[in-house]
Amino acid sequence: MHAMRRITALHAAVVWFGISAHQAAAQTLSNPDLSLVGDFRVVGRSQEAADSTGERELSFVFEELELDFNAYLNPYMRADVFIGIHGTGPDVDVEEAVMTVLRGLPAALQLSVGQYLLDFGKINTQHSHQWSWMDRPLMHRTMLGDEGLKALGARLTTLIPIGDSALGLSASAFSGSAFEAHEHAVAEGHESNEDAPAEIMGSARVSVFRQISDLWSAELGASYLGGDYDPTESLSTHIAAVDWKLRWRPDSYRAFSWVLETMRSEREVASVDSLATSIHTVDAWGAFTSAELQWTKRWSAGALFDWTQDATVADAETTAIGGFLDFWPVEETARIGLVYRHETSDRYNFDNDTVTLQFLWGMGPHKVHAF
Amino acid sequence: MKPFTAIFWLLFSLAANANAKVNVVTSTTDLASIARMIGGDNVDVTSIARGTADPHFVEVLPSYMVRVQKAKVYLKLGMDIDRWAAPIIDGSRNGKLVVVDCSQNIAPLEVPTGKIDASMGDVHPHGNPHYWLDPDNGAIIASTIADALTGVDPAHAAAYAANLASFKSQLETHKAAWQQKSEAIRGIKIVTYHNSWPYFARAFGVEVEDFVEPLPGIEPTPSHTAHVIELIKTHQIQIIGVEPYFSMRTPETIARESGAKVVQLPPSVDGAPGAQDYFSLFDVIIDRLAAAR
Repeated sequence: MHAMRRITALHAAVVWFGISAHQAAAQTLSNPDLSLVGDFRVVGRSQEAADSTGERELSFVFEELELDFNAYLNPYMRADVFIGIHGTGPDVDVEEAVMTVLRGLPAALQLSVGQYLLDFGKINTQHSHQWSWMDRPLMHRTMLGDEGLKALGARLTTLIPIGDSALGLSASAFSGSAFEAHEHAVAEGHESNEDAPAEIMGSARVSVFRQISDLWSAELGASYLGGDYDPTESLSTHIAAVDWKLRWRPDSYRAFSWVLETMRSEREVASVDSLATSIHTVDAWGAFTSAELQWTKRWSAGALFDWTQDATVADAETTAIGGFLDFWPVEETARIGLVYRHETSDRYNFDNDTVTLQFLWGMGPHKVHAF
Repeated sequence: MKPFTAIFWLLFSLAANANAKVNVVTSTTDLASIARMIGGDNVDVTSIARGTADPHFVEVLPSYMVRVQKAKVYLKLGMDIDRWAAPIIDGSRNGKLVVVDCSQNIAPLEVPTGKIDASMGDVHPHGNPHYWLDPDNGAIIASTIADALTGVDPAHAAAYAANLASFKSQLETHKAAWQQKSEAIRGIKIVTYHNSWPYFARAFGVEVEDFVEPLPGIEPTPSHTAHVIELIKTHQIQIIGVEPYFSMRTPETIARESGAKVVQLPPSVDGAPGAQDYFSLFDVIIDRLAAAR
């Protein structure tokens, strides 16, 4: 009886998708690549950090389990799905679910449709397990969102050869709901009408990559995004970013990389008092930089500087400095990381020290990351 | 447009197309060397990986993508060794690119049976991928490349066929010389850093007894290093072969403790001075082994 139900279901699938039974059977042989990336942390905080965050001085954190599904749909298209399961924050989070037309479009264009990490700066396009410094930069958290900016929309990209360099162009149209989703989007006291339809926002990035030599590479990028992020009050935001990455990799034992990203945000914010809602603009700057040296196959270390002004509250800024050490016990499928971070803010009145020990592992054919 | 002008432009464009070189990008310098010999003046060939680089690990750079964007043919090693080629090819956005897996007609060695997983190290499910290090496989690769070039550029099919015949003839001449030269190394026992040499060992009668790596792709451990030192002493092994992209530290420690000699063995074209093409690569490897004996 169960077998009959399965056959009926298969038949229905065959009829629905208009594919032959042979194709349906063959598709079971080409399952998508499935990978898992686990991120478990032990966090130690100074007394002040524990008080200001409401956490214990020592805590175990199940940061994320990332499930990746990747497959070609046909010779021209692929789909990539990244699902984050968190011990903190939202339990399950679709980080990316995107279909990309890889080839066949004019002007070397690629079209992506779905939810994806927005091409805004360099760091926002990366999954957090790629960062030795572990935590999302402060300016991202206040200007883009605690989890960065995941766009629900469509993106066109192209890559143009200019001599030995590569000029990358990217443009996205996406739902402004991406901004509403995070807590820093509007000032305290303002209530957005969640039923109001989200506006469409736009972004663009231009980057130049140059392979300076066999060992050295560099990329310089500039990004902009803007539009109405709050449909209730028609509040707009405009953010610009400049990013830089320099990389030296002579062999698989040694590497050096330096990333620098700076952002400027101009955001309309609604303030509520007893009489009316007033709208004013908050200008904010932010900068993040990190340099990392790998000197053997198993060890690397680096330092970071992280500073931002608050995107929604005038005259509020937070600064962090830190250092990190990474150890790969066997090879690239497991990493133990240690990060020390000192974070201060006069406005929010904290002076926090945090030490995080990270255990990161990956199983499955997770694809290598591009530069 | 006047008929005379139209005919002129038609003839001009045909002539231009006939003279346009086929742009070929390869994963490694070995495939590039063979492609140059088969393609001759009708191809422009570049390799993504350097000859001194580990072909398992290549960074995915936009500069490689734009290089592939302009290519007509991509020659990959296959057998899971150049998995990094897929994001480069996808990133190129080249819808007309012909991707050729040069391992397609190879008889692979060391194909694992049963379930494989990461506890076995970096095991390749389709067999050991260092197949270009057997000259007989070089002839198979050359035929695969000739077929690919003929497919994309049938106007020069005769030239590719002639170059293939010439390649095979030269290969036979070299093989005769290598067999003579390799008498000096036939039957010798060696230890190598990585399991890169089963095809070479079969072709030239070298016995690879063990590896500096405890498992493929896994860094040396103290206990395995001690085991290798003991093995070298017991079996009177004279040579520790190291690919140019691996650290010399552990091999030198083993050599100090066991009395064996460390020899850098280039598994790829341009991996050492003198190994400037596919034929001279074998000369360099054989000469270095013979000199260390």
